Amino acid sequence: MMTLYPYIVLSGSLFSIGLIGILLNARNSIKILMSLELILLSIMINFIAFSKLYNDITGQVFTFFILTVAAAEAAIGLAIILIYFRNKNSINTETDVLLKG
Amino acid sequence: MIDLFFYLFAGILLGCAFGVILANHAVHAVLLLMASFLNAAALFILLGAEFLGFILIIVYVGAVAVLFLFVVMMLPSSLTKQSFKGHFPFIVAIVSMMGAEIFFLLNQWPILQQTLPPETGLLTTQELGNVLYTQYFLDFQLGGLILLVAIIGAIVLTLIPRSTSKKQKISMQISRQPRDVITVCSMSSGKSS
Repeated sequence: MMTLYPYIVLSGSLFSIGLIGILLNARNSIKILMSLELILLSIMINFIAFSKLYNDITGQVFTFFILTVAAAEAAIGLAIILIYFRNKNSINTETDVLLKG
Repeated sequence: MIDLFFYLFAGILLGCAFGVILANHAVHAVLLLMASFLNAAALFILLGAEFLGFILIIVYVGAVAVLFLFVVMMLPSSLTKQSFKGHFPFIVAIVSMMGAEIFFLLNQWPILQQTLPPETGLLTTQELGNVLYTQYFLDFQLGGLILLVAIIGAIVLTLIPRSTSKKQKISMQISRQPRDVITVCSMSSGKSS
């Protein structure tokens, strides 16, 4: 029988890959959004694995809400990228610093 | 048997995730993101969450990834090309250090060595519906509200108002003053034009 261990290792690896993606593609807004999706996917796997272990449906309910919020976030993020490109002709997050702190 | 399928899907999932962050073209990255969502859906089904697995395929592969593809194809390809920052080894070193710490802690955690309960063969969809429409009903409605806000926000952000549209501007109608629009002129009477 399978233990919980491989699932948690998979989830942690996927989270780390997403984190590397965010740091590595820090110039490219679309790649940052994709890495965020990977991170949310790793969290969903974590929730469902624990839901299976404890035989409790609550983990799946919360995965459902994560899915909803992730879809909304992707839609808004892509709309912001589109309108940013329309105004600035660029989606680079490093050179187009609006907030000059 | 389930072990074998788990390792197959998990391996493909991790490979596709690496492909997403390392791909040269953004279009390849989106296609690999679709592939990793498909493999994650397979893992969900293996874990007995078949409703969420199919929802993941419908919502993510069918809608979100296509939305990504749409935006990537609207932008010129020179913008979405890969441009790594210089300190690649530095980033990998830091994140792998963090990962190693997590895995070291995981080894100390006895609950992870418990075996998962065997597959019951029952469908969890009905069970999920039972709690989603009773105990979590308010949260469910709030999820719908979040989606509504996302729809309206995306439309408002990307809408370009047409200058030729015959839209009624109520504020302009209310602020109309008689002296701006009415001209009083004296006409001499008794003359036919």
